[in-house]
Amino acid sequence: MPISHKTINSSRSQTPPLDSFGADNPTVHCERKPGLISPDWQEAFHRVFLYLQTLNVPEDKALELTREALRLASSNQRDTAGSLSIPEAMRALRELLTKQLSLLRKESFSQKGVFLHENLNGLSSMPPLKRGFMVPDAIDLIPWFTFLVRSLKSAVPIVSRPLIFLILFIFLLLLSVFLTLWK
Amino acid sequence: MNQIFVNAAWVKISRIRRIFLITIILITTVVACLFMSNILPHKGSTGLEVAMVLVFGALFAWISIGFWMAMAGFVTLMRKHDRFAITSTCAENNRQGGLSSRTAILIPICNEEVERVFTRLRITYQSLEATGKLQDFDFFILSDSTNPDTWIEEEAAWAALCQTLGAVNRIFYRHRRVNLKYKSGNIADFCRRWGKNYYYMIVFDADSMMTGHSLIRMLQVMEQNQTIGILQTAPLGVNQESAIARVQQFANHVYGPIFVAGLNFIQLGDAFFWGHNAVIRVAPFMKHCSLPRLSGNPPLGGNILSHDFVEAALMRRAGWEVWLAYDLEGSYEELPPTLLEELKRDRRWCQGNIQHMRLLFSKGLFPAHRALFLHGAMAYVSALLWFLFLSLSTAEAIVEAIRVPDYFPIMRSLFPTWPVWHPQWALTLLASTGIILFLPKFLSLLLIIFRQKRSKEFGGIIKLFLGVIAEIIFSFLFAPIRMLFHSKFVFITLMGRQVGWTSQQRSEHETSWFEAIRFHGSGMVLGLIWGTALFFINRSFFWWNIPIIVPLILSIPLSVLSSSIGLGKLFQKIGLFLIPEEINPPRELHLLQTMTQNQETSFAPTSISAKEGFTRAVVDPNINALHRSLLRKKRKLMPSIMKRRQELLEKALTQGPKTLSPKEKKELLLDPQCLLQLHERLWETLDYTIAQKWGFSPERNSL
Repeated sequence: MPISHKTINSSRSQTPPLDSFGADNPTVHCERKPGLISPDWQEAFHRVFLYLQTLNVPEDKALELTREALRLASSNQRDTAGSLSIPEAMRALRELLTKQLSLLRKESFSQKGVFLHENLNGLSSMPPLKRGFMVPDAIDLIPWFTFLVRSLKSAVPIVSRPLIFLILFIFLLLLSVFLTLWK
Repeated sequence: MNQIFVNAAWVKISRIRRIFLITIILITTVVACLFMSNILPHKGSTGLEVAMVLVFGALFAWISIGFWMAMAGFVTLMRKHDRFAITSTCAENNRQGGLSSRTAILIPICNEEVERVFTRLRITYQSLEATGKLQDFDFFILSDSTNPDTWIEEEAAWAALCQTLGAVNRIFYRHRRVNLKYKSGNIADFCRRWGKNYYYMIVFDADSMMTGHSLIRMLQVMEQNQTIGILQTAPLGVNQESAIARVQQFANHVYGPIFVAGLNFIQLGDAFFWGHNAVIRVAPFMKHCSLPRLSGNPPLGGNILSHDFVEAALMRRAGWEVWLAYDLEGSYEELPPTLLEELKRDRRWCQGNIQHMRLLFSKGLFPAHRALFLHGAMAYVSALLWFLFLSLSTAEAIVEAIRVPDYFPIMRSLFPTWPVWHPQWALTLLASTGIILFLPKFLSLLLIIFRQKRSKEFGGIIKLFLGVIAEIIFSFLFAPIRMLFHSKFVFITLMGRQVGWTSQQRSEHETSWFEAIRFHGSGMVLGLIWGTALFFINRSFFWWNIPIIVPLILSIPLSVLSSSIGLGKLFQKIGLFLIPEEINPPRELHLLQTMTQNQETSFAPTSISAKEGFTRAVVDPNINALHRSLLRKKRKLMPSIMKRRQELLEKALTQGPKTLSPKEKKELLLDPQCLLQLHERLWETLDYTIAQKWGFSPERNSL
């Protein structure tokens, strides 16, 4: 889904931003001399403005920053002949944002989330580590067999006692006699 | 084993109760088996009939366990006071007492629906805040999500939630790159990193929610009873809309209480741990409950899947008690919305529970926990036994129909031996089985109406009664379908085929006809063949099996219709299957409903859909910066990896996000440098088709 241009269009109708990057009355200027601003720079303006909107920067501040970025890009372009307006404007904006980062964060819109940088306004995803161990206890690989051996081992001392052995023997004898007779 | 806890007062009582339970189950089973053998044509004397009686005995014993537990629960709840209810150890007037220890609330997630998880977290947070004890808690979202879009969505939701609630450094988020040992590994990973900071941890599922009051109450019980290692609550199903889920939710509310009270009556300090909505004492958990890897390959070897049962057994083996706070309110969960989702979940549980059989004879485990392992496995194996019983009885019916009766089985006999069948005995057995299955349901009804006087909370006596009747019809219809699937799950698990651990579809969605045909087609064909064969070979046996054959034949429409949200809403409109939380919803559930309805706009700062996480991470400067900040520090990579990532970057830039596979997206997301480069180059692009692919509107058109 595309990024919405509704907000841009609405803001455009209220405060048209295009001028020679800093004129006092841009609307009039722009309308009277449309040829003054090239389509390339108009596109650059919208790209920069859109970026700032995506960044949750309020409209008036966004317009101000856009103008500054375009002015900076324009001056940079004069230094490096032949560069393109959108990349140049975006680079200028980044330069500007890096310089104004702390200022931006102090502004009220920072609560909506202007991160811009790896330092997230003190927001930490994890607390400091406090390492502990969690080692699994050794587990029997053949519990069935071990259980059988264990049961037999525990049965040995019982069976080895003469009295118990005798009782068991008599019981088995009686049982077999009973089963034989019953049949 | 830690000897200091062994001589607790409840231990002796629990032994007596368990011996009594086993005795009574054995007696009823033996009587039922004798009846069964007398009903059979040869009085249980042939090999086939012996097999039938044995299988029947196992099945009857299985349903008797539930029955007698429900009876115990009924008696407990009728008496109102239970001296072994763990919550009674912490007096009501003690509720306002402070907590002396820090607690972590853990929410392990894996490719879940992000908005739903964070909405629940938000409500739990606010509910806890209202108790005034929030400062003792930290929240951890422990993500194992493998879907790159979900991963970014989670990060964005976490940051937004922290900012909205002002919960910076109270709600934390961790994403594991490798989801080793699934959920248990995720929790163990938390314990190794931060476990030492906390005395207790409360584990949630993605669909869990608890009120602040119940969380505090649980911790107070833990503080009062220093011998408890795990305290489990009995979560109630809520918020369901589809027909089948509403029926399950209703059953959970009406019958659940007597079954959990019965469980507590028998288990006492040897209770279950269900893996969520429970408090765990962290130190003993870290010391004793780390799960080993079983030898051999999955499904029976490898990582332990249903970790919760094993953790409870290991905790108990170390001497710590595991209790079920069956009467604690304010603990909720959501149930699978469709039959197919329920069956998918059952397939995972089936594999995990059968895997427990390998631990059955492990040294040091308490007999009660060995029994719980057996019980867990039997929950699915019983289906296979039922299937086996039906197959054997069909074979017997066919044999009897084909074979010529032998009137003189004893040589030189003066009188013939007539084959006699006693239908009244069969009816008696059928009636007693019916009592065992359905009496607990009617006792629950009586309990609600006459003892607890809560019938108004279910819409009144008539609606409650009609709800129970309708629920019985539903369970009649779905039991054979579940039986067939569970049998299949057990069979394929024993054959060595493994299941994946995919996330569950928790939000309401309906089963399509295509899905239903795909999953239930074979069952329907089986029902048709079986029914036709019985109809022509042994007509009387056919009529006996109608309640099983008809649901199998109708399984496709039943599955589709039962998943219908419209039907569910119709039930709700006419007041059927109402639950107390719908008639008078607690504040937390009311908030959940409101927020769920408005959630589309909640977490989306741009109009790129919140679900397109990868696109947002590339396009949105905030999300891009947020994501990069949460990655590991920059590492030196091998030239081959760098080259591959550069190629991926170019592909993404020229062809757009839709051409990238999840694996490729993930690779780019793991590299902060690549992601920054992609972000910058995308915003600098002059190619409008690329911009469009990434969700930009072309500026040229808008001017």
